[in-house]
Amino acid sequence: MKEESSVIFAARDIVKTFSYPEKVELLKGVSLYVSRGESVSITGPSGSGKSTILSILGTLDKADSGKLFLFGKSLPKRNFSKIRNKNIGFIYQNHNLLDEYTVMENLLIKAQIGRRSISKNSEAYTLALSLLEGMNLLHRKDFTTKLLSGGEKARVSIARAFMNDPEIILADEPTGNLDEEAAALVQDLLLETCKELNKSLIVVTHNLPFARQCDRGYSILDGNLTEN
Amino acid sequence: MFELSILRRYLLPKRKRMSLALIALMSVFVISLVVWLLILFLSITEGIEKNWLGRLTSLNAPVRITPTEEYYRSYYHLIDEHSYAAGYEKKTFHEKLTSKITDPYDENIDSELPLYIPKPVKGPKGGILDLAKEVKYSLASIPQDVTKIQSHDYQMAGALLRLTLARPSVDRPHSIVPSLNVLTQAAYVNSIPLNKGPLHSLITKPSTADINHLIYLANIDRNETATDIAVDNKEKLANKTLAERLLPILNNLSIKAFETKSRFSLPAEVITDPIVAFAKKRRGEIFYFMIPEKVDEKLADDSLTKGVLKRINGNLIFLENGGSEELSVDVTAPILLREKVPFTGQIDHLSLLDSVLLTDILISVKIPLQGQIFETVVPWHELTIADTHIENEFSRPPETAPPWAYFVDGTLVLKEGGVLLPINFKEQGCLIGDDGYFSFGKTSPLMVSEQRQKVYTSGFYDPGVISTGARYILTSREVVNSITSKEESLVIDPLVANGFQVWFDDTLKASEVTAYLREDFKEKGIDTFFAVTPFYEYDFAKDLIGQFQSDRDLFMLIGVIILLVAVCNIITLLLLLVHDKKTEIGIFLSLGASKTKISTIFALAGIILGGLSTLIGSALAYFTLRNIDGLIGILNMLEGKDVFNAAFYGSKLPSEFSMAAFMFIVIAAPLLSLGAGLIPAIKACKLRPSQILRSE
Repeated sequence: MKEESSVIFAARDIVKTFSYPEKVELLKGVSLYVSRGESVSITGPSGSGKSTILSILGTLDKADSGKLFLFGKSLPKRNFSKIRNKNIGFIYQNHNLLDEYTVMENLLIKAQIGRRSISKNSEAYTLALSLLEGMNLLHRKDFTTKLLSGGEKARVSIARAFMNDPEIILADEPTGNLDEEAAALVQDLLLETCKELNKSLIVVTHNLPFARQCDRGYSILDGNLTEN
Repeated sequence: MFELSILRRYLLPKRKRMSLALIALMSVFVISLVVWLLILFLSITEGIEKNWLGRLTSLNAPVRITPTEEYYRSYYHLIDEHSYAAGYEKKTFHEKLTSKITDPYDENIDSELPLYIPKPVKGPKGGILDLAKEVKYSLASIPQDVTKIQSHDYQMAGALLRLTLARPSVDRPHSIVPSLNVLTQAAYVNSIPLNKGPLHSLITKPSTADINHLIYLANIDRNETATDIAVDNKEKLANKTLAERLLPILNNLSIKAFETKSRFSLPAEVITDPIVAFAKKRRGEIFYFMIPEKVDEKLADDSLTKGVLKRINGNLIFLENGGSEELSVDVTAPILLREKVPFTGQIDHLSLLDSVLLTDILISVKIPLQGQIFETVVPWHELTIADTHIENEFSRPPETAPPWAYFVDGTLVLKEGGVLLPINFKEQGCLIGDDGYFSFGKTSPLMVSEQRQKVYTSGFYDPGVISTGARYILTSREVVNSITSKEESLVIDPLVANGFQVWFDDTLKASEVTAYLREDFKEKGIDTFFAVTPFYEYDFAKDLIGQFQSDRDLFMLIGVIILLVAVCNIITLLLLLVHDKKTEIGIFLSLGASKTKISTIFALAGIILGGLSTLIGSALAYFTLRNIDGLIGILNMLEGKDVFNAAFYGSKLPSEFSMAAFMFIVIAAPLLSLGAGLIPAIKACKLRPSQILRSE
């Protein structure tokens, strides 16, 4: 595995086995890395473990063995919440927005969890406004997210991922639920924003054109991850 | 703050989320109800307990100091019998306290001491310890936080009380020769301090019945009532004029209303205007007339004929209802009042001064009947006092001392030989003024001779609820002394016959005072001579206090269980909330919320629901207690009888808000609610965001 000084996030020898309903070794010693400002795609057939590896990378799930490295340092075995709050941004296929909250509240909640001020003059509030402006959603900031279209929700989800200025964006099929036009818009926005803000992106997708637009690509098959 | 902002969203009801809001409201309602009930019950039981403690300790102080057997074997106690200076007599604590000599023995005068008399106990400075005075010093040094401390020494004796009850003869009610009955009761005779003391509050005011009885006693032939013990005194009384006997009574009260005795006869000449009357006829002739107090009274007896008494041409005639004036009859039969009627009256003092019997004293009365006022003059023997204001508290000695117990600037004054009887003696027919004697035995080597000490009923007191209270007769120290000095008591345990009572305002500080005194006695080296007993160790109180304690513990336990059941609502509510907000929790976790933050939200929800319910329940309990009389009134009305038995609960239920109960609830309810919130909090923590978010 290539590990250079520009690598900010890496996984080494990740093994994950599910024992219910039957024992399945989903990840068999998976390793990957991503450098600052780099976009990386992971493709593979359904059920191959793409989302699982993303959950493990995002510290939402635990690997049976293997290590994660952030800025070259191994992550501790517990208390990942601060890392999720400060260093990682998640984007999901179904957006996972807080339906009863406004667009602005959906963005600011991440700052609030990190005990940062969310008053109108605060840094977090200014960042949220600029992200919404970048996503062309400023006019929707006081709408509850359940009133938004699928494309708008996807854009809110992207904007929220960039809150708290994280180094890594983990996206799980961000265009999966969108029509072609909206999907194209979202993938462009995501890639452009990552480049613009110099953020690393790991994206799991079935969308091969999207995967091809990324700087590098991995394929997963039978629990093994290989760089394309 | 993240946790509070989320909590606010979860707890405040929103449209389309009413089911959760309703469950939250139900939880708050149920816990509030339990809190209300607990505070109410605990406050009332605490109040009842205080009342009972007050009644238990009304006659016996919260703390009692009694001499031990060691005291009775001590030089300090025994030496008086061997000393000329002490009159060769044992001394009571009162005598010890007032004596200037600690050791009366003088080897130059007194004979050699027997061998069984021990050496005197000496103090740190080498002098003989004055045990009684040391007790007083200890009492004076009780810490300041125990307020309103009063202590006094007491003496007790056993005797047989024999009271002569002189009452009107049933067959000759107006006779001056009374019917005599003798009441006999074995009794404890207890000294009551005459200066200001807590026992004074137990003394009841004389009643109107007492006053009527005193007036009756003043009128009757005293020699007829004289018992053999008090003959000389009775004769002296008999030599007084009626006025001299009545003035001590009349000068110390103001009569507000008189009342006719039944069958009072109204003079015909006072009737000027028509008045409704009933005629009693026998064999066609009118036997007597009866005038009802009110016009609209119905005929109660078929043998009575209703009509009107009216005056025509100066003659009083009776006109039957429906009859013509031609059929009217002249009134010669007596005109009686149908019932006792209260009215005002003025005593004719000239007739009082010259009177020999009550029949000689005239009273100008104004009798209200059927809206008319009938003015007439009536001899006193036909009247009784219906309402009076009786003076028993004076700022300076009254010119003529009343025959009942009274206070001058807080100091109790009893007539010579005066005693205060427990109020249950009233049920046996005793009244102020009844006299008699204490009978007790004096043992000599050959025989037991009866000794007598005359007594006079000066008043009554409420002994509280102690089982032997009905037998405690309070009197001056002199009366008790006169018995104990002659009596070789076989009746009273010497260990309790003489001692100190220690009173203070907060009965519950008894254990503190007891501990202090025991420690101080130990330091002084007098702890072997005196036993300090708090009220809860008194034999007569142990069971009741133990019962209260176990009742309270039991209800506390039941209360906690009810509270636990009530907070289960919170668990249900919050588990539903966790389930409902599963995705949100997953999102929060993915956004970096720690499990601690998530569990804090639900734990806080538990505390807030519990705290809110506690506040609502406590406020409701406070207002209920403030208006408890009204509520009981409603309950009584609904039940059609008294819901709470006054014998146990007192004349009214206690309405004081119990701070102890409030503190218990304020701590227990939120703690249990926090516990209830922790269960959903743990469940929320165990949610796996990767699964929730993926499945969504």
